[in-house]
Amino acid sequence: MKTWLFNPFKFIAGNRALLLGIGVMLLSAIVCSLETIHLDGVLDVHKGREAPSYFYFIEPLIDWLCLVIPLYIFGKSFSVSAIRFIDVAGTSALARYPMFFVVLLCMLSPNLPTDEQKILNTIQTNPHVLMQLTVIGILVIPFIVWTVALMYNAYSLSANLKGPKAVWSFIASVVIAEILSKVIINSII
Amino acid sequence: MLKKLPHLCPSCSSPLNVKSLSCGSCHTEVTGEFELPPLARLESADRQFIVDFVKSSGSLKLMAEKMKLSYPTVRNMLDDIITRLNEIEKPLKPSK
Repeated sequence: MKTWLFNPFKFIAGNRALLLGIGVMLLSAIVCSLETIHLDGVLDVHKGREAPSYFYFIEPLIDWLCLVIPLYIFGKSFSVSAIRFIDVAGTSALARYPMFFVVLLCMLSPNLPTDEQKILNTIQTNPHVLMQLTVIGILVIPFIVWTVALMYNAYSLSANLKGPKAVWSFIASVVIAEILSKVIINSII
Repeated sequence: MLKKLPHLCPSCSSPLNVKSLSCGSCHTEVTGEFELPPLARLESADRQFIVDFVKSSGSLKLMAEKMKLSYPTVRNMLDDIITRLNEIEKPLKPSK
């Protein structure tokens, strides 16, 4: 059970993982488009900003690709194994499936205006909004941790890397991917 | 009961050598000092993996299907065996 939750890649990788991962991404994108939820970063979820419907389908793809590219480059550089791009891409796609639960939790969060001043006014006039946001924020944390654990295990297995080399190259990849995805998404919208 | 071939000394953990061999048919015995081949020094699970790998014509994809594991998992298992073999072979290589 623990293996299936944190390292399903022991059994599923390559094309199968890619198809499953893209399936969950599509499902998340449908929910996001209905609820104006944005996956606007590798580990980011925000609600409220209006955007064309195609945008909700592009965002998770950008997030995923921004992570896959540095992971594959680091994997190729550090691993002695003959690693395959399809394994890094497939397992990284499947590793994002807990983000679907994050999106579902975000559905429960109140719709806030995009303007910062208006957000402050809303929170001041409705104190329960802040409480609601805090509770959802706390509930989201385990799912984000779960996603990160899955992403690391996906990378470790598909690149056959363990120890400090795997940890540091993974952290560097996530940081690069977070910056890259933010820049790309903000330049498109 | 399936007997495991010991390859490490239980006292000092050094590699064990073969001192005597006997014919199961005529009971002739040969004694001497023979080194175990590197493959025989591997754990039985690793040796079984190599046998299965050869029987699968060296196809990791086929191995993964048979073992119901993903391709990178099986490839990592093979790479780990290669690492262990290299470590076993190290002290066996003649020094220049």
